[in-house]
Amino acid sequence: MTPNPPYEPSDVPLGELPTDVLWKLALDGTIEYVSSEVQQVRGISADEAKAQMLEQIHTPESAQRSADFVIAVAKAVEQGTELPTFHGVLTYLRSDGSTYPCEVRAIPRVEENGEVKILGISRGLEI
Amino acid sequence: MHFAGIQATARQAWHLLADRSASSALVAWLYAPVGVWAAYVTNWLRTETPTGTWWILVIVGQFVVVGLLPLIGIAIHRWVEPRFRSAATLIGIAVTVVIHDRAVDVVAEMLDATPNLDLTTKSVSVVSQTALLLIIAIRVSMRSHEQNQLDDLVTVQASLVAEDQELRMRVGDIDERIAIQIGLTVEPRIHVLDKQLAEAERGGDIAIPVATLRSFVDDELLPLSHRLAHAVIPGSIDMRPAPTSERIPQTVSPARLSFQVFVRPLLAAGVIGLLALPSVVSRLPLILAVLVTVAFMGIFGVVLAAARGLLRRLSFSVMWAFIASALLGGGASLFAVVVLATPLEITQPRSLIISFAIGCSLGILSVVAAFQDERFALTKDAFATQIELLEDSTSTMRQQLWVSRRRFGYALHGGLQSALHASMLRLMGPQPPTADLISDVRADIRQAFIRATVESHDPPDLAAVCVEVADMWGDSCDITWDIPDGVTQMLRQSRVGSECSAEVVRETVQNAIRHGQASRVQITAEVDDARLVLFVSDDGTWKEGSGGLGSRMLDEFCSRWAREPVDSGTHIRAEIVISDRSGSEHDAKPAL
Repeated sequence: MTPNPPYEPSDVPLGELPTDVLWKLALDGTIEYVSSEVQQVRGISADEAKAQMLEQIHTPESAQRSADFVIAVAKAVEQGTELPTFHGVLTYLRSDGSTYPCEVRAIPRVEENGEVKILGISRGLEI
Repeated sequence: MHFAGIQATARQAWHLLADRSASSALVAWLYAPVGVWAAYVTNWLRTETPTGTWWILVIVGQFVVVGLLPLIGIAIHRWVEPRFRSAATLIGIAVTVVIHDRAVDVVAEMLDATPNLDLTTKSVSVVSQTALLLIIAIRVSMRSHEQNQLDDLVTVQASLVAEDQELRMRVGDIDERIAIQIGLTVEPRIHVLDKQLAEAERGGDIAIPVATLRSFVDDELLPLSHRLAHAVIPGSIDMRPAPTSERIPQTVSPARLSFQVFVRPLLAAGVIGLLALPSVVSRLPLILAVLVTVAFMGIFGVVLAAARGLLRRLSFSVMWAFIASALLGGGASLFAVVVLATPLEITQPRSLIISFAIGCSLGILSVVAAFQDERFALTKDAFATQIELLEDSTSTMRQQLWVSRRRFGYALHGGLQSALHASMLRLMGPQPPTADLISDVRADIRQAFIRATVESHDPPDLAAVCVEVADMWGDSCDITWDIPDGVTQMLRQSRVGSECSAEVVRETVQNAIRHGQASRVQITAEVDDARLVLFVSDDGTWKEGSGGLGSRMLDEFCSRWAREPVDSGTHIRAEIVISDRSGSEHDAKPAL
């Protein structure tokens, strides 16, 4: 696995930078919510982003890491063990084909109806 | 019409002349029928010019006007100062008519068809043609002005449609966004805290979870709840230009026109007089010609006015309005010619036919003008109604956005922070906490987190808010209120409206006391259609608004509000839309 590039975490609270993209993911991989900042960051609308598969969102390596995390959460739910969280750098694909590294934080959350969803935030990195 | 009314109309007409459209090619083309008539009168009718030559003269004259007037217009709007443009346009029109006549004369000479008109006839012809061109110019400018007004309304409407769509999208989006933000920020800290408390329960150091609690409340929860309450988080309204299709004006055409609207005796008499005068001058001495023309105008105008007076209640479909107006105009003109011409023995059969035709044309033009005026008025009304509905709708949406953000702020601030504070105090008691106590605290924190993120608040009762405000300010200010039952019932229908009106009361009373040093505040409320109107009067010192957070908040969720100084202090009037008239109000609830 390629090591993450060095970066300085920002002091600005989560979700408060104009390039912070908030998202919510179901355990079957369906994207249930993407905030509108995705347009600025990746050049596609929130609706378009919601319809994408992990392979269309990330570079192959990052897509694999994302998928691994979702699988790990699903397994923890199934086994009733502690739910894992994610904090790392993933690389996103932009509409023009270029790549965009982001600091990503994700936590699983049990909803009122008992379903587990993954809440996440992707913050662009200036390298 | 009163003198003041005539003065105002004249002033408006003068201003309209300054518009670029008053000297446009459209004015020149609309002048074509007048040009045909003028050439007919001054050349063909009098001198029996061959038909082919007459048409050549007509076409040459029209091309001179079409070529010259717009050029003069361009020159005026490039080199003449705005305040002189009306006068310049008037002179430009007169110059156009003179050059037009001169050009026709030159071509007529070249074709050996010199009309040999005397100076009086030519002068009268120039004056009447100038006046007619002037009327056309004012009418075209007025139409252009009205179109500009409609374009402005279309722009406002399109902008409101875009804002409305954006807001509707945002209402759903903001809840989801804040829920995720809080989930990511608060939940991991609760989780860490719970782990540390579990460790302390098993005999670990209690100072660690207590420090975490303090840092959590002071460094994270407090700023977050304030940012939510003051709406400084992202998610502000991002205005986008409306799609082009929404900018197409939607005109509303009248189905029927009333007699009173399309029959205009004064204007019609003036126009027919200007058309007739050169013809009459060419046959009679000037003074007699003027008298005959004035009498002709008088008879024509009186016939039209009498018909309008008698049939004022009638209205016609647009097609029948054209027919009725044409027949009335033609009939009145024919009648006037017959009454005048018979004793003067100046009647020719051809004159009667032409007079009837001119009267009919005037009648038709009158209906065209009335139709345009009615269509403008109806379209403007339709836009005004639509804009008012959109303003109400966007105002309601802004309220919902504001309340949605505030509610999360309240939930964190009021529910969770209080529970964490209480937990901290219990853990920091004189005796070291027991395992049972720590276990209780863990359960309480979990419960508080669930409550804070899923519970919704009941709508505040406005009278109760007044009591709360009066209690809060105690002896420093005498606060009285009058909240009628109708207002309370109305607010029960909308939690959003209730929260917004409560906030107006809190904000305005606080401002009156803190900034105006008021010792007395009176709050009254009334219902106006689907709006709640709040009046807050105080005896404090008037201070200019600084456009601060309070003003921004009022801008955000009041459809209209105003603050003004009065003799006894300051008076505030705030209108809050309580129910969306389209019936689509949906109170946003936190979904965590």
